[in-house]
Amino acid sequence: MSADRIAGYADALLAVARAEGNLAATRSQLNDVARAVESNDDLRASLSNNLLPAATRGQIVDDLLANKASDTTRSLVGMIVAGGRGAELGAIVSAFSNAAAASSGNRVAVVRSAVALTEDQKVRLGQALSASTGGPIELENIVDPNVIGGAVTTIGDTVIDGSLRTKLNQMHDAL
Amino acid sequence: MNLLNLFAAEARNGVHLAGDKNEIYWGSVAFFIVFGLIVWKVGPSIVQSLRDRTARIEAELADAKADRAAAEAALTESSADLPDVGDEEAKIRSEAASTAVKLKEDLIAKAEAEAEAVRERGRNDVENMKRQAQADLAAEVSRMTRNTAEAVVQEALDGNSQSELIENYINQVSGIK
Repeated sequence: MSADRIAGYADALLAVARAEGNLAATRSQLNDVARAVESNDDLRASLSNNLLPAATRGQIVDDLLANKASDTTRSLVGMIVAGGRGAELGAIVSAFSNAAAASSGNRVAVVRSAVALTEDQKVRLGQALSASTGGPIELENIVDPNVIGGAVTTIGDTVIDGSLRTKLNQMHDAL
Repeated sequence: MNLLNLFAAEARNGVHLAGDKNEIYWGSVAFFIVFGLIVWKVGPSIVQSLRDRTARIEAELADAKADRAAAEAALTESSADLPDVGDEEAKIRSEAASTAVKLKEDLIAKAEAEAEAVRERGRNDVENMKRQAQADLAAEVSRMTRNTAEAVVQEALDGNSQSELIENYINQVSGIK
């Protein structure tokens, strides 16, 4: 999928979320949905399978998000999946999150860690990232067991890697 | 004598001649006149025809003689060339022998070169397989080491260790300017 198309979907999501007046909640829920889809191969395969009728894929989204997300979030996810872009859901949500942060003058820092960061750790890491990048940061923490320990932060094209996974890989390469 | 007697006996006048002498004279005169006319008118043509035939035969004889001379000359020339044919045969045999020797040497050299190339390829293949096996072994050892290390690390990591790793990471990021 082209970057322009992803940006187009992200702008559409941002416009709808703003129009509905629940940008923060929608953003948070969309991030949760994207992570859930990313971590579940079967779910990702089903939502990405364009051989399935759009109505069937939409029904999967409704069943998945029933009583767990707002109507806005459900509609937006349904729109993406029904439009045959289920495989790009993560990229679209990431672009949407970046666009939402940018609209507030912030940048999004996605922090992947093996365990969830405490609020205090989030605040201090956010401050450290703001200081190092020279701008306000909105921090999103994703729990990823593959990290093993430590954390990996991605801000746009910049990656700050302090994970045990990378250290083990470096040891493997050195061997 | 018996035959003359027989003629004489059959003749009416006792001789073996026509009974009328005038018929004999005039018959003879007419004969010679006709004979003379024939000789006078037809004789030159017959003579010319005979002469032409003689000339043609003589020409054919001359041609045959010339052909014979040419054949004899060709025979002489061929006979003279016979020693050259022998030399040419010897030369061809010599060249063929040289060519055969050179061909044999070339074939042997080519076969040796190909054999050396095969041996070299074999050595390279063995060396490559050896290197590949070593690389595979190293990769496998590395992979097993990483998996073992990963399992040990994951086993050793508790909440405090994770928190400490996060704190270290925050300090690492804080150090980035």
